Amino acid sequence: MYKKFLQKFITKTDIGLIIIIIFIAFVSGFLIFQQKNSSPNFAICKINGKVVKKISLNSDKIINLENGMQLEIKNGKIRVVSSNCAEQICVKHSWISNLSDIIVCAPNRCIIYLEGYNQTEYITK
Amino acid sequence: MRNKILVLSAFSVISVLFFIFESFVPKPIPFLRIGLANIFILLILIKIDFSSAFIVLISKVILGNLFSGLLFTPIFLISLSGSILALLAMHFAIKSNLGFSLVGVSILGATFHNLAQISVARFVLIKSVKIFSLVPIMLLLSIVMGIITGIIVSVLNEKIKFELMYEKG
Repeated sequence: MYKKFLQKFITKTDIGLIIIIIFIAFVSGFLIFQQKNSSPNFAICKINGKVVKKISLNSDKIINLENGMQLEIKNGKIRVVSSNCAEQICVKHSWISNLSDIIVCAPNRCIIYLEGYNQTEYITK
Repeated sequence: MRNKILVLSAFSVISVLFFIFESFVPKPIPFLRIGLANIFILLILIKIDFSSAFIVLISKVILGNLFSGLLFTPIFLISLSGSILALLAMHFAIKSNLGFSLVGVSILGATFHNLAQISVARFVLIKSVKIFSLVPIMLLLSIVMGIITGIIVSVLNEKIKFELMYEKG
């Protein structure tokens, strides 16, 4: 009974159109989702809430901070090599590489996190 | 001629009413609404012709935004561009003889309406590329809204029968 009711309203071309639109929706959704999870470009280090260092993750290097912490960047990841804090939690945290990871050293009031900047955002501004 | 003006005026008023009524209904995405006003524009498009539908559309956009207090805001441009593109898409869909039913035409109209709105909004309202992350869910919503308005248009198309006598007056 419902099929006859629907047939009055919707034709095969409509179903084709709906399928095409759903397909485009999923493809664009997938592309957008992929963009959001792209790898970060920069590591940001904040001490006492102020940005102290903004380091590109492109090249491997070792960085010494003024508070006695030593950071290492390798293969697009960053870690705390050594620190003068008692617990050494930041050192034990080891490498971080995702946009949602952070390393915190409470005694040094230091936080290290990652950010990625898409090229397009700069161009359109 | 007088009859035509009366009919177009009546449809314009109804469109404006629905336009304003819809602005009070909260939606997940701010400027994308159910588009009930498009029902009447599509009806005129089928029953009379493109230019009459265009007249109703312009009336709806200008008067609707005027009475909503949005006439000189970016939203007016967004509304205008969406409506015009939707009307063009629906007109060519009907003319193309590809076998679209009224529901299909409505879906097409809703999709183009929202696509145009989000594109204009990117330049006029939210100046960032990130706005396009709304596109997938907006496309799916367009299908749903298109089906709803399409069914209403189909039903009204059968029920409302009128002939315009151009010769009189």
